[in-house]
Amino acid sequence: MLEVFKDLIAYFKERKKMWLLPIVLILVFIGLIMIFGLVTGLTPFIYPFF
Amino acid sequence: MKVILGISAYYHDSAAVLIVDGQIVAALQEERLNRIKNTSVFPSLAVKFCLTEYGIDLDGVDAVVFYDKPFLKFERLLENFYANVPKGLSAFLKFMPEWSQKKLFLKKELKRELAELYPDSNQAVQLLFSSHHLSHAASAFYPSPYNEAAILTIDAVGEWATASIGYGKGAEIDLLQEMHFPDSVGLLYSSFTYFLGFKVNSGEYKLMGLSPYGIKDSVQTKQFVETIKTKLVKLFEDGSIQLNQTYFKYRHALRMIKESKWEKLFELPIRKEGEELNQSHANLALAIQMVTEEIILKMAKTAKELTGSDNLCLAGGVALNCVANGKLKESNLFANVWVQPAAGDAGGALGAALAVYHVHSPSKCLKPQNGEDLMHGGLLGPEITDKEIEQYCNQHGLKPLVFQNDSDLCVYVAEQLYANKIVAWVNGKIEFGPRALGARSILASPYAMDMQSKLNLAVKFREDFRPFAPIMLKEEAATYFGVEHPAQYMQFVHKIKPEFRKELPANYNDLIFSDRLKIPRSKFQAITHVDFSSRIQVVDNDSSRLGQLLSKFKSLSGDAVLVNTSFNRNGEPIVCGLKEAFDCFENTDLSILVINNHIFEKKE
Repeated sequence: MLEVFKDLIAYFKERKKMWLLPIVLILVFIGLIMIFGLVTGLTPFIYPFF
Repeated sequence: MKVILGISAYYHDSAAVLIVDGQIVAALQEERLNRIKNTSVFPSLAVKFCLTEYGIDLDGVDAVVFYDKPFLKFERLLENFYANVPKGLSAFLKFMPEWSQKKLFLKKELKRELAELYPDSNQAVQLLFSSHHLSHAASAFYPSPYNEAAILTIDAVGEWATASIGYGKGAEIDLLQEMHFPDSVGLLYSSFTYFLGFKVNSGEYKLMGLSPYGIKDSVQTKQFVETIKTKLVKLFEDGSIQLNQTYFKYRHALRMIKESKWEKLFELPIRKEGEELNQSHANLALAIQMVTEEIILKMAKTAKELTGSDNLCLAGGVALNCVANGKLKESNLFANVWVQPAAGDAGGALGAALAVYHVHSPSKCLKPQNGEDLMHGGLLGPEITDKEIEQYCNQHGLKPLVFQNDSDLCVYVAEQLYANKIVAWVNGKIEFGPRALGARSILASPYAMDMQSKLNLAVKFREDFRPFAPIMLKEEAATYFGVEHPAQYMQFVHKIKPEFRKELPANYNDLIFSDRLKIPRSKFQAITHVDFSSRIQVVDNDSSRLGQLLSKFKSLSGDAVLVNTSFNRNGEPIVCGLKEAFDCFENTDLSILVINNHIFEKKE
């Protein structure tokens, strides 16, 4: 987990897009909550989100 | 770097490819083994096959390359989300668990899968990532027969890029221009696929097959084209496009389009899956096909201007649009056009591996001097051995007819085909890519008036409007279709020459589709679509088993032309091994199953 975040920070630095980091943290947090049981179910196939 | 394993997975069309010293040793889509069409799982079975084929395990692999850059894709998802917030929040949150669980941690995930597959492996294998469109470009250029070429890749979306123009020379590929999400030819075509009631990402070829039923000169088709070009898409001279996002939903919802706006725009209700098709649906399919062709031709023109090359290589899902490929070839914009047979994401695994190889070995020239490509005819997967057949026969009490030489076998099968029997033909290694090229095929005579509906309804169990493709020897392709370019991978649609067409009745276009199919169009009724077009496959090698079969059929019928369709039923992956071959044979109206030199016949 830590390695990925290190990579991600290095990636955003390289791409000069550090402003995306807070969004990542919020969304990953929400995502993790969802993994633990709030939302289940299949989603239809839409390219861009995959 | 000698041995490289390429992988595509987690989106659709999972596959593994092994290259050794820049040569393709093995390539396989996971669906062929796990039997789930377009499967997106990690391709464990395909990886195992590829490494076993070369007699190594993971320790023998120098690098594993994934065909896509997950962080770059994640960046696109985030920026897209940010640009549309608060719209799209619920859709985005549905996908977050998968990203926060797996896709964001792809490096770890891939290592875990490989370790699970090879628990005794000693070394930590080097893991690399290639960008999506570089993978496509590499899959198009490196295996092509050309030493230098323009490269055009077009698909729905990779990371940011949805299309790219590049130039390949020797070991180098330069990507010169890119078109970015949300503007995408693939997404545009898929939106129409969705509106016309077919499944996104698998129904596009049905839309393409429907388009010839459209009437080109009708007021409605012309209106549809005009509407698409004025309301939905802005076409620029260089082939780039801008989609009017007020009509699309894919950026922020779980649907492709704003349905009610489209219904108003085309004055047509959205078609639900399975609903009957009518002339308006066909006209709309033709309209989007025509617009797509116009875009592709403009992109190709730009590629020509940028590179000055006489050769063009194509890949990406849109490169499977063989009607557009045929038009591109006939435009003579490029003297030579080569399309990667696995143009979709499975081919990305091949491109990713080849891209890494050429970065590390830039001085090696691998192109054969005889003008052939490096794809081995696309035959890169597992084969069924005679020993396996014998074991299967012993287990199931089967007594096949066994021929000792190919000539006798082909005479026998040709006679059965000429008697209008439908034959399943399994021969050698399975194809890599979506098309059956004669290794896992269903073959039939092209002459019978009812062969198309018989194949659609009693063998393939699919929609009756769908066409079938011919396989033929080189001289037939030249005689009947004027095709003299190598078309061995079934990627180009051409029309039968006017002198071989039959005159159509005046009310032809007023007939319902099933009645139109019954009108004689050419002597090859089963492979001539309603607009006289055919997706040609040319067999260049007369001495191959398939070449011999075509020659024997010619000696009976006068033409070395057969129907060739994939050996499967609707919705299933192409047959790979014995179990599914017999399952498909026994549960359809197939008369004969040929596996290598063994023949199994159904009792009348």
